[in-house]
Amino acid sequence: MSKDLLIIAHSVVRSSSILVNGEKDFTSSEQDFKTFIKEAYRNYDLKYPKFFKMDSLCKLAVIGAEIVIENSDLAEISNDRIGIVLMNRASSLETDREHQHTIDDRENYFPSPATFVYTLANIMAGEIAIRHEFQGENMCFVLSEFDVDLMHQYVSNLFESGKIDACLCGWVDFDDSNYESVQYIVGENSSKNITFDVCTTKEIYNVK
Amino acid sequence: MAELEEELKSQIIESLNLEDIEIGDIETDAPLFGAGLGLDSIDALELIVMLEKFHGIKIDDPSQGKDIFESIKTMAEFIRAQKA
Repeated sequence: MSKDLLIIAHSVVRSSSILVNGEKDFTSSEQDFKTFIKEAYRNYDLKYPKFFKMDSLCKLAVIGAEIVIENSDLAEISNDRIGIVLMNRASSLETDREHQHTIDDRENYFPSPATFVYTLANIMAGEIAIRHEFQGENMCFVLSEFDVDLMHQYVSNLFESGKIDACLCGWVDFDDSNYESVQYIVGENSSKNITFDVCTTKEIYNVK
Repeated sequence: MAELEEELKSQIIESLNLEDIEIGDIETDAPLFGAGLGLDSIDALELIVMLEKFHGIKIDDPSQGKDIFESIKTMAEFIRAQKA
């Protein structure tokens, strides 16, 4: 039997501002991503030193996830029943370039292990899973654009198959200082009556 | 003599992105791993690269790492011994 799925909370991070459930929650005058995301980290008081070791894609994913998780009551759900399904376009290209730069010159060949570990897009899901101890299904798609239909179908199937009771979903993309994170938690219980469907997800994604 | 130790502290902060740590926060004798700065296995690899990049010292035997990277003091002693 089909389950009625709801969007419990959602966040949007783009253009130096953060929206939570459609409301502006944090804005910075800083256009530079690195400065903006550091300000956001301080604003939300994460107290997670590992954050500073992450690449830009993971920092973006972790901040976007943090505020949406904080606004979702997941206390009753077992950590191994919370999934993560993310999509992006540029994969880990920004960090791939940085790694490439360290190995371009054979006379100055110092590849950084700390950079290399972030040369995979799904590390962003891993970082969120580690931070929040989520142990459910975990998937990262690399696509030319946010495929809302695929996301809806894939996540609905996870619920249908009985593998998860909640899922952090979204589009988290970072490339050449352009960035965008749209994340939302899908579950079966929520005080907000926001149906998890393609139309609603598009509305959240397109919000300016 | 303490110049090298201070230099190492600065290089570690920069190389390992220890954003909330200042040079004065790192004790020369304190363990770098575990209870100390809380570094992890990736940081250990980064320290090996750091030694080669900034000090021209390559660690051929990885099992030496545990002793060399015990603290700033042991790192400095190792560098001085290699350069003597």
